[in-house]
Amino acid sequence: MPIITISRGTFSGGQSLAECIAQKLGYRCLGREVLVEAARQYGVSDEKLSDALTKRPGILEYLTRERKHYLACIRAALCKEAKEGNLVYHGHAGHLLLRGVPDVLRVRVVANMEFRIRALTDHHNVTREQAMQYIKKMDEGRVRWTKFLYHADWQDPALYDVVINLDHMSLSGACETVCHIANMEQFKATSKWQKAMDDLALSSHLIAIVANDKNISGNVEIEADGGVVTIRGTVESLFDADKVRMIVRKEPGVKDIDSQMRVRLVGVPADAIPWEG
Amino acid sequence: MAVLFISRGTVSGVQILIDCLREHTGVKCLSREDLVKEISQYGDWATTVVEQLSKSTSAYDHFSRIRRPYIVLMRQALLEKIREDNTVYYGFSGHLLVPRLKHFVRVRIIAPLGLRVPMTMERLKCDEESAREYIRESDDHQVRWARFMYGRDIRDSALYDMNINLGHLTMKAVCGILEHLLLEDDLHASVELKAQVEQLFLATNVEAALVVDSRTRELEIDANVENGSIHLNGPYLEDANLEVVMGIARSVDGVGKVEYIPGYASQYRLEEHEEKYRSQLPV
Repeated sequence: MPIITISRGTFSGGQSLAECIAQKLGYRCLGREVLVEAARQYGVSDEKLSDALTKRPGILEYLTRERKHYLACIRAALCKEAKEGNLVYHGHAGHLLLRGVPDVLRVRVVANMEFRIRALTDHHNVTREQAMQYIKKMDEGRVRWTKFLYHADWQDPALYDVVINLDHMSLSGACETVCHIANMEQFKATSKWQKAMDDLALSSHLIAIVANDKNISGNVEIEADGGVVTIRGTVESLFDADKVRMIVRKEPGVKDIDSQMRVRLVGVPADAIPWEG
Repeated sequence: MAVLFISRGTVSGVQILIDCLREHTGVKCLSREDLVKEISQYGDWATTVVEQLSKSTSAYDHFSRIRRPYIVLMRQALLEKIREDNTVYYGFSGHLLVPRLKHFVRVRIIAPLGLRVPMTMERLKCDEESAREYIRESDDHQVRWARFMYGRDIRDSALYDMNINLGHLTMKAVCGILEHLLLEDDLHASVELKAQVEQLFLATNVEAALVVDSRTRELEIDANVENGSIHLNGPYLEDANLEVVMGIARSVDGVGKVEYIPGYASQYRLEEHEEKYRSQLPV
């Protein structure tokens, strides 16, 4: 079985469920560790990465690409771990970060507000009122950033394969059920899965390192298909386009480059220049 | 074994799942039509309630008067069928007829339009546009139905113990998941749970006896079993009316002591049951 992602609200019991599944199936269990690894690998502070996943977007953020850069770093770190399969990821937005990878078992855990308030007040010195406000604020933030980045409703059950309500089902029962699903034939690793995972790992790594280079100005999208890398988007100069290609070319796993970048001229809309680098 | 309540949209491939489950587990499968057949002996409540729902809101008063008999009689028919557990009910929102019990597992099957449209076209022998329109109208009807009947939005994933998406999982896989839920130890119908179902069934039998009798139909009297006796909860009554109510309640099989407590109860006690259930849950 390749990957299980657990999506959950704050204090919904998702982490305990993830740990139980991982232990039962003998898989690795990752959450925040992926952020730490992303921070280490790409030299970004883990607070900034954490904010990128949890903080709701501000008005001006619609004009910046900073958050997309941070998400690429996180996705690249997650893909690096996920490539080997047998992983339970309970960090934020696993199902969206691994979008497009087939046969990832996408689980969402929900629990009623009372359950969540009790879970929070039992472990932290906060009042009931504070707990409720905190949970509402976190949920609202997640709904907003999922809409902002993925144009999807985080709470929409259609985004997941199964949604489990811990309000009624016990943790052990839910754990048993997810393990049962994970062992089904449909979720065995296939060559199709491996290729999709490799492609996503390479493209997100390339996006992260290009965005990490402060000397390059522009907005670049990168896709990988079996080692062939297609670069699209807009850069500020031919020099920037060259730099992007140079960075991409020297990375392991890149066999060929299909460069379709455009150069933006000041005062001229990017799509008015049919230039290919 | 557990009792599964499967809720789904129109033409979501659930019949295939039901056939698969029946074949693999020998489970008893019930549709809404099975229950409607049962309650038709007391009058045509099911047709009347559906007709009223499609009328304008000015008919709401009348609708609310037929809603309670419909709910009580459907609940009675449902409880009678699921007393022996090992059952799957696949009506649209049947899980809202009964309170939460540990072995009542409420599952929602979500199917993407890409799957539902071709199935609808095949079933109705129509073009794609008509199929989409049919699905949209039927889904809308179901949402309105549950809102009017039970005051709930059936699209809310928190109403279910599990939502399963057919968009990614194969029918075979979903059948396997449901089979697993039926046999899951954690959801097994224990002796205590079965006793709770029996109590609920007895109380519903009393409520049903009161709604089928034209003298007491509109009194909205709730019944509850407490310490082996029936507690009735309803409006303040004149002595003569009270005698009629007590007489009807005592005539129900299995009823011993009956006590009448005047005062309005919560809506069909479902919320009350839920609160009681929630307070017993471990965090």
